[in-house]
Amino acid sequence: MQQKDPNDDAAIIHQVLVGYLQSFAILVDRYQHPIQCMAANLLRPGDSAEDLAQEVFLAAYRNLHTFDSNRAAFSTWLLTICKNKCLAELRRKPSASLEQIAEPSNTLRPWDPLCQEELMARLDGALAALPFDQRLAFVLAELMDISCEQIAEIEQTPASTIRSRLTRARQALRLALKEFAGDTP
Amino acid sequence: MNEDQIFEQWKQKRRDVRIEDSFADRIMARIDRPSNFHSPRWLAAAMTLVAIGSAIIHLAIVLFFTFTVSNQGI
Repeated sequence: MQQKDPNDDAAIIHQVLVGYLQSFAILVDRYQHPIQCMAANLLRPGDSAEDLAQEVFLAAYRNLHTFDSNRAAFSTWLLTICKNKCLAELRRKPSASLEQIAEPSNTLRPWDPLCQEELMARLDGALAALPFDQRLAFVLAELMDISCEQIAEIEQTPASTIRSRLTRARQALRLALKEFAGDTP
Repeated sequence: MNEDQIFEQWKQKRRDVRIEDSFADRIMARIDRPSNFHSPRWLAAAMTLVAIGSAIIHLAIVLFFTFTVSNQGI
């Protein structure tokens, strides 16, 4: 995720707090992609990432007066809200089963274009089957280019723990990739 | 296409999220506008009303005692 100037965010937040509500649209515009990307990759395929992203921004607006720019960057605060909302949504419904992972076709070679679609579906399934903490570390670090230090702030865990979660997540996904290639003739 | 390229392509696919143009508008529409009573303009208006109200009450008390006291001939 592209890093924004925290002072710039703080100035916009101040404007919103003193009554210029339309300034909040600037924050929504600025962070809608990372929040929707995070929600889409943490929730299950049937869940609406857009609805959850809306709830994240509304919760951020309602609690904006509690945001302390000295304690965390606005992006970290917002991503933490998103993480908590995703976690609550996943707890509300039963967890994804491994049966959702696509079975390899026996008629395709590993790197055929058709086989690649199956492979991607297999990777989607492997990502969904990861424990939440590993999936979160992978999504934030690998898909959103967020540093391990910032993820550690979101998770309130040492950065070394985040690095180890990230390594385990990468290994699991690579294994899914290799198993698929090995399964296909 | 090798394994690494497939993996990178998959990551790119996961990054691509389609965002509706009206996303920000819908959030702004859901924000509760009348709750904006803590803005400086609202505070200034409220304080002016309180000041005018207290001035009227003060004047009424002064006039009440003035007439009451003068009617008693003290």
